[in-house]
Amino acid sequence: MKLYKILILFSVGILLFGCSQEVLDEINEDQTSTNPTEMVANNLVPDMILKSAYETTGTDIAWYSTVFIEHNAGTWAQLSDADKRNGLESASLMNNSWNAIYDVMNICQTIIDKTDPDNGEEAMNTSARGLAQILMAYNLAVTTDMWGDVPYTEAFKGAENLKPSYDEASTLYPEIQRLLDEAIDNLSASSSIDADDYIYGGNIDNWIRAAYSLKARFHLRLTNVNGTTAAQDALDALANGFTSADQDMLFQEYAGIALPNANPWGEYWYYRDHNSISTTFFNILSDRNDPRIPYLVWPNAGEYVPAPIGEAEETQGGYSQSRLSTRWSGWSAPTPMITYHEIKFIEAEAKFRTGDATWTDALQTAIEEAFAYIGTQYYGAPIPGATDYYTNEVEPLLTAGNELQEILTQKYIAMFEAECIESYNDYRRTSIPTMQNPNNQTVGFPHRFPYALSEERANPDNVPEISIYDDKIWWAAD
Amino acid sequence: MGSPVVGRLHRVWPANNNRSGHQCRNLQHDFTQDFRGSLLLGNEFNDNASEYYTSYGSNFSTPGWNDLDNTSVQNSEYDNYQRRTIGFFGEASVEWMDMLFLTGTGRYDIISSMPSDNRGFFYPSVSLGFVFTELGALSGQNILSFGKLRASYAEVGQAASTYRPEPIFVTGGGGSGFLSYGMEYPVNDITGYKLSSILYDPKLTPQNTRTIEFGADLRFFNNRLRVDYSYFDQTAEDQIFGVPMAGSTGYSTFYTNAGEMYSKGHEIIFNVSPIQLNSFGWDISVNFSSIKNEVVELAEGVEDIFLGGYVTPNIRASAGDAYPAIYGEKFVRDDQGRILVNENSSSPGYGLPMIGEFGLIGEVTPDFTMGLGNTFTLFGNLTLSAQLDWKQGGEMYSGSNRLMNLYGSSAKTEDRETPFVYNGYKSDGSKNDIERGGPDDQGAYQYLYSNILGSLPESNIHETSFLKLRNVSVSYSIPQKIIAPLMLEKAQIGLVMRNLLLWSTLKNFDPETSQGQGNMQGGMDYMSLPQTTNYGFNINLTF
Repeated sequence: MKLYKILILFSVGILLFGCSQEVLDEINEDQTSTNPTEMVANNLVPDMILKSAYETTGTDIAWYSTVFIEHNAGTWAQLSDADKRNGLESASLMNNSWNAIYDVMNICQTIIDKTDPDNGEEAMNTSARGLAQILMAYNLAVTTDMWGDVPYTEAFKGAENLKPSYDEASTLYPEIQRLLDEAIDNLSASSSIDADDYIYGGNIDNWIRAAYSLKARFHLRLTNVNGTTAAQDALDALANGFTSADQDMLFQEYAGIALPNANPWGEYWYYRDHNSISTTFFNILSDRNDPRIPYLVWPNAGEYVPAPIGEAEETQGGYSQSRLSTRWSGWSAPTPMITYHEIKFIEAEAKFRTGDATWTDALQTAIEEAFAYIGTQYYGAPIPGATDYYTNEVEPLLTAGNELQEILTQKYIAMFEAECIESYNDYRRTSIPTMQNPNNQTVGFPHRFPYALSEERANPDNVPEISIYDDKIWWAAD
Repeated sequence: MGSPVVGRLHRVWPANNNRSGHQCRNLQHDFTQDFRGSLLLGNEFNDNASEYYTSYGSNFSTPGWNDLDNTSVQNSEYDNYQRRTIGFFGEASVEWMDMLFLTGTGRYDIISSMPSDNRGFFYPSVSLGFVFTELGALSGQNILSFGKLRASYAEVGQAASTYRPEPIFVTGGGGSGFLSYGMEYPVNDITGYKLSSILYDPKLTPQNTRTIEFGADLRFFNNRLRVDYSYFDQTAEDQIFGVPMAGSTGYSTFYTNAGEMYSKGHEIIFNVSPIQLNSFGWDISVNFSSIKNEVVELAEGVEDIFLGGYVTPNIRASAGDAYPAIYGEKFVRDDQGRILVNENSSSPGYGLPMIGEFGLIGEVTPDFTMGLGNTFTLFGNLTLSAQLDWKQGGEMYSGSNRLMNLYGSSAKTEDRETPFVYNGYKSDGSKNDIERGGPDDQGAYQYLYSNILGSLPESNIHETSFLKLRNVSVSYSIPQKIIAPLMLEKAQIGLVMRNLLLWSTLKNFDPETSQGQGNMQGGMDYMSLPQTTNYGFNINLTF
């Protein structure tokens, strides 16, 4: 009986000390001790930047874009299907990218909330707020350009709103510009960037120039909506944009020929080998005797063998491939988010549209900078011959009525591969250059991405009914 | 420049510390000789704490040297997990005349991994047994030697395995579904963080499963024939599940009380010994079970619950559907449900089926399962037994068959030359007559298997009925007179053979070769480890 009493005492002890609410709360919190519930905004900046560059700009969205705009032809597996327009309407196609881009926008939103000037816990951190607003604008633009109407005002609320409504795409463009304007104000008010900054290493001026450059990009996107005003708005923004290539908005943290942490195009080729240079792109280069051919295209057994777009054999190694993403050249090359050569092309187009005769100077600089960018980033020195190329091959094509055609074709060449998301936008906006995929006539050209499975399943009432082949994005050409 | 520096090594040191205490007191009291009672009271304490120390290394320099010293990037991590449960329980039972048995139980649990105000919960059960062969008129006869009816009602409460009151921050990174590596921190000596994509409902309550069961145990002819039947009807309320979230919420999974599931089933066990002679015995055992599950309703705002799988296909529970069910892209079909073919003559998919919308493509639960066992005993020392299992109905996504067709290694894909007409219909309702394949259309078969059927999960849904000779064994006990001089008390030799024969509606694979027997309940296979046929020989010696 004595032992029994000891046991009773022991169990009373457990009850008093082992299972009080406080102790159990502590135990439950203890299991999260390895993961904090509080974090300052600055510590969220690196992953926001890395994901915006790697997941939004460098991976799936770009890999489908490159095939849609015929820089590359899909010659294996999923991208061969994309080339043949097979299965592109599937809700699972871009599910990962959709979820990833909302994940990174949620990081932006977390920083924006934490640094809210009225009720944020870090109201003084204007620099982190500025970076988060730039990257929110950047990611939101990719989202609405690829998918059209998308959730924004009701998004990022977690369990408080399991079914966010979709904002009309045309209402998001003013919001993108507003975010960039606020970012410029916030960064102008900051004395330093205290977060680890993969892109500019804390250079505030470069971030402000990047914000203005992005404003120009998004203004010019609306040429079919706002006409010449769009071009003038772009030029106004460009007055404060990049002034040289060393201000390029680049993510350049790749480790070279090693995995993980290689340039995603490199790993994509190494593990998937989905793409080959398309006939469309190769013909545009060879028609102009473009000196960049040996820098952009690998010969196959001594000859250039581009893959016939839309009709290529399904093969790995049967055609010439990009030199930028295959066989190691680009494994440590940066992921460009917006570059000096892009804004010179924006300037050339905007000046042409507003009747400013100096547009040819901007075009020449754009082409020279594009030669320099590929050369410097992939081969250690600018590709020679840019000025001769402009004089001998490009100028003769700038005949009356053909100017826009050539400006945008040159931009299409310059943005090859790593900047192809912008080429996809430009093509949908201008229909330049002409796409050659025969499946565009029989099945259709994919004017947008299908909505994600996670939305179709968990938010079905709000997802708009669209056809990727028939329903164009609101700013697209007729 | 050769090939990239790759390879990785993970070293994990798990440490698990489990402390538990259990005490109970059992009291018995005979009210009269025929009316007896017992009472059991107790409590239980369980505290489980695990810690994980992990070291990661990547990028080996020297091939074959599998050590962290040989890696150029190193990283380490510490994780812990703790959960404490305190339970109080009691059981009171009374029995009368060995004929009526009444038992009631109650249990109160307090569990740390729940919100503070929903941490404790009580759940009772009650059961009644009635041995009607003890009634005067029925007792003491041999036709129905034993008969018992039983009924019970039970509730079982269950807590979440993990509950985090506030969202946590985790290490981020970069990736894509097409890539194996992606970006891992540290990148340039910096580590980046983000909010976890998993949220927990602060209003989480314990899930409660209520089961009503009726049964009968009837034994005839001195137990030579026995039938045991039970029927159960089970409702699981407030089931705790990770609910998949729309990406636009900014998160991926929400642990909440997601809904109500209902299942009912019949189980019958039948044992008979038709022959019981000194030199020959024969025992037959049959069991039958049929269970149906249905998702009655899901919580407000929850469309469906993800149980496992890939982006497509996957296993889900969806309101109004049976579960577990398989979801994925379907064939494009006409109003009558017939498969439509592509009529665009310039498409490589001309005359072939088309990939349609994502939806329900298969139901995993079988109509019934049945087992038949036979045991023969000869001369008291030779035993021969065999077990035959039959599963009727149920479907599975066979990823292995998909890959065999995709890579052209299944027998079905052997013929790549004979022109064919895919068995489908045109949009005007006529039978498909578009011929594909042949010398001028050599890519047709590959396009069908790789590009269309390979991306069409519905085409890889197979019924998984089977009849299997699961087990055959022979054993022989060596007679006493032989082994006695060897100082042996008992000696037995035997041969056991498992998974001997299979007749299945699933081609090429054993339907039991599937992954995720838990939530996925055998609904999906993707290069899973095959079932093996075993032959075993055993010797048992007792000294």
